[in-house]
Amino acid sequence: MEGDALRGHLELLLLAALARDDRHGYALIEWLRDRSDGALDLGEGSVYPALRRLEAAGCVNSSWRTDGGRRKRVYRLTKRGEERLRSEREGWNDLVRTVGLVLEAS
Amino acid sequence: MSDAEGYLRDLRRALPVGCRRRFVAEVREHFESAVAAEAERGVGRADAERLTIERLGPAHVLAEQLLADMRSGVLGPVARLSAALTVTRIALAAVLALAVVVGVAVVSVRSSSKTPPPTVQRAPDAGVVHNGVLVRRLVLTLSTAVRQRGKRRALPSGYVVVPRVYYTQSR
Repeated sequence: MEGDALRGHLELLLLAALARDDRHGYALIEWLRDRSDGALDLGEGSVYPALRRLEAAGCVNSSWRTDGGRRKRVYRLTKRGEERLRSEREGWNDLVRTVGLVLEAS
Repeated sequence: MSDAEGYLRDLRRALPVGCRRRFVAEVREHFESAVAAEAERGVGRADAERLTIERLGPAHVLAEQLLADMRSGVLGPVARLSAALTVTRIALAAVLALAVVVGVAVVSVRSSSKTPPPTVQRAPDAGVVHNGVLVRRLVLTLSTAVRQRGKRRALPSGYVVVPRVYYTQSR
């Protein structure tokens, strides 16, 4: 799936990627790639600005952690982020169901 | 300089000071993680860096994404101010550079001027008759150079220093 098709959903995907574990930027990208069997072709550069937007919105927070001798900026979901994930997940499911109904009827 | 270092340098230059440090550090870590991951697949560092740059996209595009968010206020008022100051800083630097160029040009023109210093006058060619007496101006030609404002400056040809005692009489 190309980057253009993901535009508008990138923040939802990042929230979903952080739902279970705290992750740093590269780990988030790897996780999304693995979970989609490589189908998600993210413009990797767009992930970092998106994380900044989520952080400014209070949906994630971040801190530096040392791992394997390297400092990594690790992101974690906040309460507000959990609520937004839940809300956007419901919106996405509604959209899929609605579009599915129309396509099945055609 | 490696491809990754060149990329990070370009990114640093394109970002405002306020967010530069963290963002560049994060992308640097992205490179290190990517190189380590590619090394496990047998890819060398140089190739891994090239591949990572390809996936990240050009540094100026990445910086522009962040700047656009900052300008729009999505990242908060402080970030918005930082982005605005970046634009102001560039404008001020341009004005300052122009002022320096103009200043240098003015100084250059003044230093090349033929006008002698104000304390120096052209020596008179002849004396004058004053009350029936020929008065000659006693011109004390100290030298062809004079100390002025602590600096030794050469006098132009035909100019001398005017002394305090000017006149004497002669028949």
